Amino acid sequence: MGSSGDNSDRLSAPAAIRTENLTMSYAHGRGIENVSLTVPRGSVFGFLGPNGAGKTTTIRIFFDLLRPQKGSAEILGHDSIKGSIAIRERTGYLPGDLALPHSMTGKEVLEWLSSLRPHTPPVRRDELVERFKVQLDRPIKQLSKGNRQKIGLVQAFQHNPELVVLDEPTSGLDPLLQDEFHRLVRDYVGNGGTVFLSSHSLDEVQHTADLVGVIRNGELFTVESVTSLRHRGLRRITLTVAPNDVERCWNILRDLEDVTDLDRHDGGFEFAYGGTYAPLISALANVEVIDLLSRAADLDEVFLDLYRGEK
Amino acid sequence: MSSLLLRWPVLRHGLRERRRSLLWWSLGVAVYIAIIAAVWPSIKSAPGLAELEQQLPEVLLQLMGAENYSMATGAGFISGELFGFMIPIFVMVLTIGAGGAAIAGAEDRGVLDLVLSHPITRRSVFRQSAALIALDAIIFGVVIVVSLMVASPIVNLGLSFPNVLGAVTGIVLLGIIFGWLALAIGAATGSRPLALGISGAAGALLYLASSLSGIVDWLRNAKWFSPFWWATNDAPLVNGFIWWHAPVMIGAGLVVCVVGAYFFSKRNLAA
Repeated sequence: MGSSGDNSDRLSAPAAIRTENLTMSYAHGRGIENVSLTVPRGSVFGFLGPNGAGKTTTIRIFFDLLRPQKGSAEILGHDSIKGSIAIRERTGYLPGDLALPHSMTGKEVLEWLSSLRPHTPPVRRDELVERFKVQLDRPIKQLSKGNRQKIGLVQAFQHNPELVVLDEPTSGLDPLLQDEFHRLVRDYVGNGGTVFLSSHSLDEVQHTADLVGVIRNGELFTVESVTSLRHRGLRRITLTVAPNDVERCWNILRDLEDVTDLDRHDGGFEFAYGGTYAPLISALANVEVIDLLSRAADLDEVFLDLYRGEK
Repeated sequence: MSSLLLRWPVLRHGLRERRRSLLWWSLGVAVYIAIIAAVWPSIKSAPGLAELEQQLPEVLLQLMGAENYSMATGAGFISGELFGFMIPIFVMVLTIGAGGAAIAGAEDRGVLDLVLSHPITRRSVFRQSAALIALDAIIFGVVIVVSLMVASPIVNLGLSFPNVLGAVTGIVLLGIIFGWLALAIGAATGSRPLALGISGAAGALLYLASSLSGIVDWLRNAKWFSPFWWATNDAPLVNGFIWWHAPVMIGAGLVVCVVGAYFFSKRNLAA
């Protein structure tokens, strides 16, 4: 079968996740409002936002742990409430605040959890245990947070599900293991799997995600590809000017519309710039510029800019 | 049994988690029974016990639950000393604890989220938890039966096996009802303190309702609502358990479960 055939298969299959106007409010105020998003199959969707933005609330609706007050979620073609068992059969989940029974060993936990899935044997368990060097023989209560998190990762992937939902998956993992995790995600998606990955760290998401949804205060305010986020044109500029021009330059920069995050230090400025170069250069025409350094902002800065724009 | 355990992983896990506390409870009640039994020979030989009992006012005997038998017989003594108060307390603390821990407790610890992200219905989790509580109470009951039947010939208590079995069945069912009540409240609300508090308070009130129903006129009909009355009416250890009480008690417990499971399947789980 050629690649065009594969593509049409992919198009005809329902999206891995599709939510429409998902709304859930709590008595104490926080929650989510009208979250609509689509996660195509075979992709990594980064769900980005600060703590308390509504990431976990959204995810818990996918597994019918919460029922939305409004809107709906469809996972692998099943309604999140009516088709919950079918959804859970075919997905893996790593909760954000992973709690494992303390008295059991890692091996016992993995065996117990796969006994909750009698129809999908843990075909990947051994390979994953090897890969992450999971400590199987010690009771959970004796394991560090990172070692517990590894068990959480293994249980989410061990039955080789079609979709894996990971809530802050790398918390507690050291950098080496984070790399291993990113490789795991890439391999898994390469083999047709779909990953929904929530995180408050851009760094984590920009290395793995194809699409990024940014959520804040319960509202999803953009879904973009990582490349398009980067290409929003935001630049980071370091400007050095002659000492007697510093004051004048400061006033010029302050008045420029596309300058944000303006910082002044001895003899120079640092700022984020979101516009085209022409207005900046003509504004600086009469300033004695000693040095101008411009580089593409990393996603962190784009992200901060997005938040600023929303305020 | 083993194939049931394979198909019911929540029950199996619960048994594993509870095996240690169940072991200590069983040991505790066996020792307690041994001590009470060891006291019997000196009580029996104490002069004037039966006479003293005859002089006690009827009201006092009723309050002690001893109106239908004599404390001067082995069965009467055990019935009054163990089955009137301590054994029901033992079994209820055990089952209410298990009931509160099963769903509300797992939710508190965060384990329930992980379990319910697997393809298992909330009803099934509830069902397996209810089975776990029943199994807890039954194992505990077996320990009581064995302890009594071992002690009886040694200190001449003269207990009859059918009566011991009947009396313990009543107590086991009593424990199951309150354990299921705690399970249902915990499952419906997600609050373990609420589950333990309400079940404990209900236990205390219904105990009073049963023991006062013969004395206080306006409480005359309250006994019908008290599992204590259904379990211990007419001193089963002396006069035999009224077996048709068993299905009534099981039915009441099942009603509590159905209500609890209904609310559990409808609500949002705490993160």
